Amino acid sequence: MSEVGPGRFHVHFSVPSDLRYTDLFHSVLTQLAQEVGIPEERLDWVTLALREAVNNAVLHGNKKDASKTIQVEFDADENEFVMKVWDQGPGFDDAVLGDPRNPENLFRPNGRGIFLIRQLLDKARFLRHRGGWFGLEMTVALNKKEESTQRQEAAHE
Amino acid sequence: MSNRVYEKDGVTILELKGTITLGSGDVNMRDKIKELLSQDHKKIIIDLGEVSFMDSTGLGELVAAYTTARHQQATLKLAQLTKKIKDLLSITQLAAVFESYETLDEAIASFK
Repeated sequence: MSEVGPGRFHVHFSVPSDLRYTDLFHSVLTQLAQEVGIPEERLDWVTLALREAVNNAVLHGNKKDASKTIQVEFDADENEFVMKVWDQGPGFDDAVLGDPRNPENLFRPNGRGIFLIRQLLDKARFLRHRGGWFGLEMTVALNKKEESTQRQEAAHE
Repeated sequence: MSNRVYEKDGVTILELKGTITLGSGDVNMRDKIKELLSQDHKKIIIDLGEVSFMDSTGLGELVAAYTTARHQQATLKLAQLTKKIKDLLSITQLAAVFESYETLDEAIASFK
């Protein structure tokens, strides 16, 4: 973990494109969760989103090509925790992703990964830069619970 | 992931334990359900009470199991969903697809 300022950190991994690293990143995130203040009740959703992103990068981005690489970055400050997953694939237009809740998609066995990431996290966007790498940036707000508590307290005053 | 299959009141129960994610438990679950269907089991309950984590691949395997069962005139129901799995089914609107029950006894009774 590299500190980049008071209350902030950045950590960066570069690994071969292999699904066995999904469990590794799951473990790393579980370790980081307390450090960066991911609320316990959201941790399963954050790890699920990361797993989906890493799996997509290996399977769809790098097309299971073990000679390619995926990169995972974690950034945090007091307000948010940001995960970025990069692959060496050509990327895709996310406008073509169907809604898995639509009747014509409901019985399909796949197509729910990106949808879940968007539903479970506070923000998710695709990144198309950095020397041909294609990335997915996922953001978790760290002060949500406090804001909610504050709103409830204000309502009771 | 581990599994156990047993019969109760003429219903086949597939009890799953552990995680159902890409590369861990997904193929195991698919193969087990295919095996049960090939053995002509027509009333199947998947007991998810001890499933600690599921991803989109796990959800997809449940959907595939449901449609495969239906094509073979078998009925597949879910029981003892954890809060997280209930939430996943709700978010993806798969809750409307699956018949699911709080307890195993309720799920078994639903076949009568």
